[in-house]
Amino acid sequence: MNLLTIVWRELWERKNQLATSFLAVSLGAAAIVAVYNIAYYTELKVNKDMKSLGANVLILPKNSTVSDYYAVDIQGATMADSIVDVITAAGLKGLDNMSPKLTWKTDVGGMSMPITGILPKNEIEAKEIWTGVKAFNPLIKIDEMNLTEAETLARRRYVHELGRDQVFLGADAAKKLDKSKGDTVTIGNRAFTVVSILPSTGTVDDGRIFAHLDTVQELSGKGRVVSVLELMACCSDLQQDLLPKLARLLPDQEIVTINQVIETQVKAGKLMHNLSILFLALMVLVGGASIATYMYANVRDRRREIGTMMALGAQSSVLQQIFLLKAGVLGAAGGVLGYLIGTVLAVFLGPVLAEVPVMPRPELLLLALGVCIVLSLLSSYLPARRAAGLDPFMTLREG
Amino acid sequence: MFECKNVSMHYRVRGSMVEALDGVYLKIEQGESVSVIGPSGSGKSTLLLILGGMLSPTAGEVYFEQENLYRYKPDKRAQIRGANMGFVFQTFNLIPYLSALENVMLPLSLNEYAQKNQREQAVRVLERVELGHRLEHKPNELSIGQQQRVALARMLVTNPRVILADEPTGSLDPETGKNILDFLDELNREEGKTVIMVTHDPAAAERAERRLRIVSGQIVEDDLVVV
Repeated sequence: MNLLTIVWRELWERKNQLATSFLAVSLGAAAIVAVYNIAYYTELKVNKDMKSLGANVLILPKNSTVSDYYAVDIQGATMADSIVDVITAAGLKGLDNMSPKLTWKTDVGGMSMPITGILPKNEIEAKEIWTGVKAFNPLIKIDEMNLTEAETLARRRYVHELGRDQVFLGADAAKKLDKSKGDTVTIGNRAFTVVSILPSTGTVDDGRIFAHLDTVQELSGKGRVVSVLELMACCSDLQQDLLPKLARLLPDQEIVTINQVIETQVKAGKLMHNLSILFLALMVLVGGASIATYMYANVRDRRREIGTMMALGAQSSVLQQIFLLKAGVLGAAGGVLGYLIGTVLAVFLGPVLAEVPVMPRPELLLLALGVCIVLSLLSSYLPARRAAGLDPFMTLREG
Repeated sequence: MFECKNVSMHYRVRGSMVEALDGVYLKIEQGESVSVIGPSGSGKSTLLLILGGMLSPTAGEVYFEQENLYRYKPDKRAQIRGANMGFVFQTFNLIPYLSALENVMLPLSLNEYAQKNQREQAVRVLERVELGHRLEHKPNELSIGQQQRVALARMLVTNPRVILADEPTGSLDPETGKNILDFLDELNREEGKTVIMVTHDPAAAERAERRLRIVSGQIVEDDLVVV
């Protein structure tokens, strides 16, 4: 027989006495697990929403104005494309993707059409490898969304690969030029193969031709410049210090964000964060006080038993261990139950309260266990010390 | 084995001072059988707890095997107690949520005996007190006499050299009480264990080789010493 057996027997025999404390700890843990779980999936949803908008931060030449988010690059002003290297080398946390663009209007098939040069993602990643800096850590892997290159370009505003003699055509542009996938389009004196026709987006992008950035820089004769640098920045980092860092890094550029989206995300994030702190504080107060009260009462009720154990040779450390073990078991059981209740609450309430589907997150079990066990041990420390310090003479005479 | 030198114990109860022991001198040798008698509140149980290292006297010194017991910290005294002494209480003090077997294994567990031998040792002493068929019974499922026998088995399982018994027959009927006293006598005579027993029962006291009478915290009668 070991001390855990003694603790377990006592817990089981007097389980009704600890029901209140057990419930307080479990419900506290459940609240924290539910809030963390819903917060996580809310943030994921916001990230997805932001990604569906394409870039959420635009880097523009100084003094540019943003009247139309989708046409911001057609104003004619440019800036050196070296800012791509500057940002890549800075290794800023929270950047998911970057897409430099140069837009130039020229005659194609007898019509004036905007041609937008884009740098495919594989070339941006090549820059990362070259600089040795991992700049982009997507929270959601775009590739997992099963989009075609054309859909990615239309909806996310970037492509993974693009040859220097290839183009994508916007839906309207393809119609005007009467071209389809695999056809050849002549721009200036060069022939380009149509990789794909983009799905209609209802924006000015429908009238564009997308070619490789280097090609557009060459054709336009503007040199190593871009009209806009579109950034996909992620959520919490965007709330915190990413924008000031970008501003310090690029003092000569305008930095524009999709404020409404960000503000919504910031508000939701803050609300969830504050809620979790509130629940944690409540749990510490209610759960901790409940456990401490129960433990003090338990020590008082078991004085004779403690005196007997002392008479049988139990040292103070052994008595303290018995009570702390009991607290540990209580905390562990409370943590597991709290995790289960919290997960069920999150799965059912997430879609109702936050309009997000929520899945169980096993890693939150560790959080619930950690919080409950630590709280339980801290609340039981003084009662356990009191048990170990009882006067055996008084405990045996009181019976 | 034990020696008390001018041991006094005062404590305060509800504002008034109680003199439980008052300048007690006492020597008890290994293998003695000693009964301690006296009126209620005379200090008998206090003396027993002081000899057991559980109650620090207000004044004086208590020696166990030539070691001044109260020069040690409580944990060291608990260690000495666990290794050498066994307590028997009037109300048995069994742990209600543990079975008879677990109650007997308790001192082994508290004193960190190897787990693999605990059960075997506990079963052996329970069989010795004729409770081998009641191993899994909780105290409330046993008769009063059986409960006291479990308490005896618990006391015996660590094979103590000294038995400190506080009115071990106080809650028992005469027949069961006699059996318990016979058992204590047997432990004293056949195994050479020192038995110090506090009792109100003159017949039980008579069975001991040596009788001490305590009145108002002082030993007023000792078979071995003219007081």
